[in-house]
Amino acid sequence: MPVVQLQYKDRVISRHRVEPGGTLTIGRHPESDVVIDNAAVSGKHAKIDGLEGGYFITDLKSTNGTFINSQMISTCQLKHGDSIVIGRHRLVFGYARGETRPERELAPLDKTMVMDSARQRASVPVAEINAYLSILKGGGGEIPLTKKVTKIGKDSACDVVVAGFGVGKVSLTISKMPKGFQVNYVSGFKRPRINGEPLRTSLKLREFDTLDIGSTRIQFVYRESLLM
Amino acid sequence: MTMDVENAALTDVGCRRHRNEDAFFVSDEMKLYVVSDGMGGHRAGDVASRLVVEGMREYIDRVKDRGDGQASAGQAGLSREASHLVDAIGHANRKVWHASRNASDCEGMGATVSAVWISGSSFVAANVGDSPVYCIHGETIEMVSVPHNLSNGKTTNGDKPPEPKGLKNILTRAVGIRERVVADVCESQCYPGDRFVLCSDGLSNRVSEEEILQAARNLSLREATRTLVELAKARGGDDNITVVVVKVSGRERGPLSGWMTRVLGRFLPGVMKG
Repeated sequence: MPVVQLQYKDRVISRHRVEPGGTLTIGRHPESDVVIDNAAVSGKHAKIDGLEGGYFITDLKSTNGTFINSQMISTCQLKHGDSIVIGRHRLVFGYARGETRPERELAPLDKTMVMDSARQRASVPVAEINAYLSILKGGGGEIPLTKKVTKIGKDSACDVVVAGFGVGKVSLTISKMPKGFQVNYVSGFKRPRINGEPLRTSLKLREFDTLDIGSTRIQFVYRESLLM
Repeated sequence: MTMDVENAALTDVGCRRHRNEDAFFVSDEMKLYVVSDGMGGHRAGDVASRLVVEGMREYIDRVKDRGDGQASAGQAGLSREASHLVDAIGHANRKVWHASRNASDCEGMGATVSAVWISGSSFVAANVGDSPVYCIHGETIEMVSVPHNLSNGKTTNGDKPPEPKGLKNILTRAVGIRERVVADVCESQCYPGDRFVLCSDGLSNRVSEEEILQAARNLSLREATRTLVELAKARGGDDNITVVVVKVSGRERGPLSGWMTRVLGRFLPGVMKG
């Protein structure tokens, strides 16, 4: 029976079995089989199904996506040693020793590559995340800035949902520019504040800038190279 | 909020060349602006750049009113508009690629593409090659395109003689050379008063960012394009020169009105409008 190992910064947090014909759900929701309590993770983020042809991961239309090999996926067959990245957590999928694996996976070339890349992946920054938002107040956790545009506001479609009187449906966006990140005011009677000053239009973000949106305080963290 | 846009565009063969291999497409109605700088082939640089701007127009015209989220699957994480603009470049790329394989005198032709598409209150800029796109916000100018050439990314300073062209002339990506091409995309918010400048390297190799900023900020659109082209020509003008300046305007919607209209709108019909 294959095992999925939940890791955070190379530390193993938990192990979970996936049964043939069964389903393993992953998300922030407390009833998920694998609970990841982090703001970057959606309530029902992804699932792994044990089907006849092998084991498959499916992203459940999560806000921040599910990555395998730094590739955003919607659904994908899992191979031994694959690491699934959700937010800043990693799930490593592996078959038990001696367990029959789907034939497609046993192609010799594939097998050697899995061994090599599994080791290599550990040193590759996850999904090229080098900037993230750290929620200091009105929530917690870290949100990686992987998208070209990250939206923050009242609307449930936003990447970070905040509450507060007069806060816009989309209060602000953070754009990934060719050089660095930029914060843009979008809407709402109550303007977001950056380092205490109301945000009038757009500004380049500098490391450790703090943003206040409604009752939520967020800090921008940027690293040239992030060791995972 | 919807932005009003206006533009001025100018292209010039320059002082040394006989043919203009640059092309542009501008439409305030579509809010789409494209500059392409053609190259290569026996005599086909102009064919390539023309195909690129046509391809971009065709594609955006086809998808612009499509309300569905039919964005290409490979571009997860991009907005609908950004995916469309990337797909438009893919479409333009296929057009040039097929044309270059079907006509012997077009073999090996290619082009750059730089495009800005304004939608609602945000903009998408996408590019392949080294034709820069600048966004001017307040007193700052920022390149929102990614130059795909071997230069170290330094900008030309108007006072110094331009750096030797060698590396700058070698593109690492171009439209029409391969079956597929990857574009760089930048997406952000735009505000009344912002300006965008798209140009070919015939301009950016001769005129500094600071000069572009001053011209685009302080002059009328038409004057700005003319001044910039004249400046590049006065400094040698050894390449074709194309410049598009786009000005974004629109009612500056105060932070109150959107919220006030919602709350008070029904009691004060007409008061908050306009």
